[in-house]
Amino acid sequence: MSTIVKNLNQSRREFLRAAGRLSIAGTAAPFALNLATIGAAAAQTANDYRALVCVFLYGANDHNNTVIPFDTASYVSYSAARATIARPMSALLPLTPSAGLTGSNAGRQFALPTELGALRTIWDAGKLAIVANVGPLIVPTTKIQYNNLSVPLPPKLFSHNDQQSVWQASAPEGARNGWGGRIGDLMASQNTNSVFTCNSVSGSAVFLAGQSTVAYQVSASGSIPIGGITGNLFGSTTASANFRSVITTGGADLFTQDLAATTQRSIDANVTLSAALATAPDLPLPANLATSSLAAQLRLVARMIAQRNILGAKRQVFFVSIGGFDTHDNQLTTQPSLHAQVAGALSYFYDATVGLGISDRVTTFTGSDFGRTLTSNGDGSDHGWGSHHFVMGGAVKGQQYYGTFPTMGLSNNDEVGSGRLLPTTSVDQYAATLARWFGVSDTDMRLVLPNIGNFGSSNVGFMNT
Amino acid sequence: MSKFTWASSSFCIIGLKKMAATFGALILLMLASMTASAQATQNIVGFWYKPSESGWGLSIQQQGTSTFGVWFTYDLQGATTFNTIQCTFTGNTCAGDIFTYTGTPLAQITAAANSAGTKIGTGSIVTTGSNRLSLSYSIGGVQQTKADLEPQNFVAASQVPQCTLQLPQTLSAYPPGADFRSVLTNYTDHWWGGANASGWGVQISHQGTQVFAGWYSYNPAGKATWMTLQGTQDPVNAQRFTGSIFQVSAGAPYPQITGPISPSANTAVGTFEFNFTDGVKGSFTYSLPQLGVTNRRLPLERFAVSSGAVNVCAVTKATVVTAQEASRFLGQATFGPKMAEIDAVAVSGYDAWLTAQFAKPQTLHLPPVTAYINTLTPDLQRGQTAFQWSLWKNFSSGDDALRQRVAFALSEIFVISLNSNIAFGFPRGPAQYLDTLGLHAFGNYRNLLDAVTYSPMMGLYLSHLRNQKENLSTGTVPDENYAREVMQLMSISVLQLNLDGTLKLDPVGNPIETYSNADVSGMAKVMTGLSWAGPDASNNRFSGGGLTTSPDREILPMQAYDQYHSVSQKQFLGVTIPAQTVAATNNDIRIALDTLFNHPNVGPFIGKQLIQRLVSSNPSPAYVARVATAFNNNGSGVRGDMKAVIRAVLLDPEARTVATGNNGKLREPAVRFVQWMRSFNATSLDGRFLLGTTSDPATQLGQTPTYSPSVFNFFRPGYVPPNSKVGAAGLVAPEAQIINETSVAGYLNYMRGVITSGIGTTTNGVRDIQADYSAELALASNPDALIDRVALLLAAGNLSATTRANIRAAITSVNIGTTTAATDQRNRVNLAVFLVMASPEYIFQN
Repeated sequence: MSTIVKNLNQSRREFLRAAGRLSIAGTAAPFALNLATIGAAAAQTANDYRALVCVFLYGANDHNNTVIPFDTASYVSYSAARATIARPMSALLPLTPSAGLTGSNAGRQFALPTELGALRTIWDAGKLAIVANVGPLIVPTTKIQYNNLSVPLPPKLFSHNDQQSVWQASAPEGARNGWGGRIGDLMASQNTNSVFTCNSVSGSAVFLAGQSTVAYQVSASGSIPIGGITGNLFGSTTASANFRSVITTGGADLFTQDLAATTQRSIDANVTLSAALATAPDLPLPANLATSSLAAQLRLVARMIAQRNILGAKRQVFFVSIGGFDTHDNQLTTQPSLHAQVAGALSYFYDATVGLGISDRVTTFTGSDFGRTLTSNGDGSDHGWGSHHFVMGGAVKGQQYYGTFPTMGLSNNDEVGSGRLLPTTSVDQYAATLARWFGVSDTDMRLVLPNIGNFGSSNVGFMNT
Repeated sequence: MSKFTWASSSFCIIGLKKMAATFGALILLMLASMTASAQATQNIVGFWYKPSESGWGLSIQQQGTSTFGVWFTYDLQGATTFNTIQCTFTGNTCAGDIFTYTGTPLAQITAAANSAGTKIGTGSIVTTGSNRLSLSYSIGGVQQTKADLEPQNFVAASQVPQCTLQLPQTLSAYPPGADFRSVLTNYTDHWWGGANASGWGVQISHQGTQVFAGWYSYNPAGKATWMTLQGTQDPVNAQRFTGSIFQVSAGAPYPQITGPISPSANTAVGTFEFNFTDGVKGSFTYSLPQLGVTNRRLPLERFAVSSGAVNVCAVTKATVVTAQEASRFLGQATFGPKMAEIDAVAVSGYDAWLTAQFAKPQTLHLPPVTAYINTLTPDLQRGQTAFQWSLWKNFSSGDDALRQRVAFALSEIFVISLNSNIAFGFPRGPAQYLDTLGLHAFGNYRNLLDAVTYSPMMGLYLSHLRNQKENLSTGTVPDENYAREVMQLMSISVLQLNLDGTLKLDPVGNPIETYSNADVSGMAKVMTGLSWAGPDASNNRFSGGGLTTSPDREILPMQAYDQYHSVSQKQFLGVTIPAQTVAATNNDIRIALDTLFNHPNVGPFIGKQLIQRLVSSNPSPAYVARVATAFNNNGSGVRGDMKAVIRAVLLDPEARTVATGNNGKLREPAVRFVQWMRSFNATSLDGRFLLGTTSDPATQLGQTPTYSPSVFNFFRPGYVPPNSKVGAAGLVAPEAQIINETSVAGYLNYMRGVITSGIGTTTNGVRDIQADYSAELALASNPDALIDRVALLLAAGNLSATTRANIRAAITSVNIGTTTAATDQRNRVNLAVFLVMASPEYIFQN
């Protein structure tokens, strides 16, 4: 944690420099304002639209049964280590990359489980990439360094709530802002209506909290109007104004002030969004996704993107999620069902963006608490660290693997016990690759990802510029 | 009863302190001068007597601006009679006319009695300071003053109720049964047969468990007379009193009284029974053998003027707290106060209330759930419908309000979530689980930890049910799920804590993790070998399949299957359990749970969370330390005493001092909703509270108890709302995790419907759960009183002037009489309840 603080201080110098360039009046301008102002400078050259969509797999998706070794040696090793929870080869769909694997990945083959078949279609179309062994790191870390505690490690490893937070915000539970929100800080000024810069269709997520940007939390069915703030309320035509005043007026304490502000934002955003959605294309879900919450969330994202001009948005970050991945047991029943939903929803969403003619402006990526153990506990797996992730969209250099796949098996330098992967690509690097495509400059990258300077490259390479 | 003897020197009639007078036809006289607005300057309600002339007395009732006395005495022939005096105070003197009466003989009184009054003179009541007054009268040629009358009490001073005139009460607006006094449990007042049965009445003085009453009526000749009633409260049914009727055979004529009457003149002539339906209605049953009257039963109503203040009597000697303080306390200790509970706590104080709550029998979920599923065919006995009903029912109507609230708090620490569908097929399991939390809520944390660990519902949820030892040949290892979460979430947490909940730091200033992954692996080995209860420990039963399942396994603690328990060395938290030749599942678990229980983190970790759930999101370290100290030692050397912890949480100076600033917590949406049910005495038409989940944030509450998204509850104790003023101030706001642009709208819309129409399954167009707004409707014509009441109930009176002004303006914008009076009154009540529940000051409980 001390390293994080140190780097924040370094970045502070940078933004102060930037602030100086922009001749900000006064010395007490808060950090948040400065971030936003830096973004304003970048806005001069931005006249296009881009969206980042984070699909968070709550509970920790078991990556071992998501991107599965398919070359014989690796599969045998996988099958032996996983015992009762290995997927049979007959349940696998091998992936063909557009170019042969090189380096430590050379000779490896991988497959998706059949439930993720819809993603293979996108892969084959060159619009889906797989990034191997991504996880939170503060600095590049070897197993020896991990064992000796000779480098700073992410705090509270293997704990769900904390690692969700570390993944999204580089700090455990209690973190105030995340990299999605910090990207939003830099980009909000490009939007006519900054309310819709960061949008969660999945409740509270620190990922979308910025230093100045507040995540707008919207339901999958759209914004919810508060009844009774206009017109007649309980037989009175004037009580509605009193009602509105009551709910938007805070008291002497900060809790009521925050609550009133949230309510005011709810009212204001609804005015704009409900009007926008009224004329948005319907983009109906296919029947097999009718009860999928994730698909419903993504449908709302697609419909908001369709109305981006009405919403005054040029840069938007979205957060959607699906839970249930903590497969300590029944993994072979639970995970395939969840995977089918994820693949179906992502496929629907990608097709929707194609239909809207905007697929190359929308990049969708997965996140999750952590990976899971390679070992089986009988009918499930336990908490791990590094994990494999998907990146999808027209701007993705797809049909390719990125990062370094671990050696399959137990007791090697790629794992820290029971097959828990020591990440080889940091979440910061993964994030920086997305942020750069989104428009964050290299000099501003440390404002978004304070530890990015600790890693040799800030570009994993999976995005077209 | 001897002390009640009418004429004895030790007890004198009419000395009862708080007594009201009710008359039938006489009321007409009273009403003429009573107004709605003014409050009497002096409260002299009660029985007054002159100790040296025991045997006669004066009972005084005050309502509006009017004072009304019933003078129980003897006529010129020495026979019992009563006169009345009605007057209005000017300064310390209340002068008016004196009347005498004739009426229907008491043996024949029905619901249509009447009386006729005749003025016989004038008189005055003068307060002479220091709880004394005098009665002067001029009747015919008799002019006398009886000085130094004093109030008569017959119980310890602490049990003597204090009576106040409470404004405003527009009683003409009360629909039947909607009198706000219906919640009163002290029956001291003036009671009569109702507007259609005027002419007789009983003036009751209720002190402690005893009642004394003056019964004024008419003898067989139709002449005014009186008797006294002396009764005691039924030990089981507090609304029932039984006792004897006394009559004085002869006394000195009133102008000639100079001393007490002979005790032997006062004899028991019959028996009586009061049965009160509530604080305003009841019945009076009497038997008088000499008159041939057996069990004659007449309705009773508490008298009230049609407008103006009425008397409210309550035992207030122990009122160490105000109503606002009592409401605030109950908002922390329960799902929200009922008005009667506010009154009770104001009287009893906090500690006595806690003691009483600790002794209340637990209201259980399992019996109603079992009863319901027994009505279903087996193929339908799988879901949680009845448990959902039971949640709402027990939370809102359980008499063990503290236990219900603490059990809910514990369900947010020892989390199982039915969202996961774990309990599908086990309809009774969750009911038993919540009952178990409720049971140990007032027990010991160690037993709670044990019960949770062995619960099959927890076993299903965190997957240690059927957890097996490591298998070296297949490479499988024990499931770590429960092992990790029982440490992280239910006992010791991830970082080492000081007693006050602050982080311990290593020499270079970094936090110290409580356990490593190796500790988790060691603990996981301990948590192997548990599965379903049953008559044997067969492999088949362990795996849960086949026909051998025990029908009650879902509600029985899991049992050990040693053949599946790890026998290898187990190391965790500095403890080593050596490798075993014979597996010892239960003993290993005992060692592990003892280790957790005795870890110094438990007190501050669990203690702080209970503070956060009930009182404040950001307790001071000193507050946490005091609660942790109580956890560590209840004062008698016992660690983990939950009652001691609960007392420490709720009675801490930081909890009790009226909060300012940011000291407090956001009320959870589910708690707000249950509070609505409690505050407005919601009932279920069906009786079972037919309401399911309320989880959708867009259209409902965004929260259903026991349906959290994960084992991490609906919100985290360390949650900092992003980009908030609270966060900028370095504070946490756990409940804010489920407050957002969507859920604020969902909550308001949901509650608007709930407040307007009730909630739950609709039958014949009526929703099952309906509030009783009668007390609020009674105040519809007085916006300030209406706001006072609703704000006291819901927000401990804590509304800003701005919010109050807005609510008042909204209420007064509805003119009563615009549509129908009932509709307009209801709209006013709806506005008051809805706007208070919508206000940020309500949602933030401080």
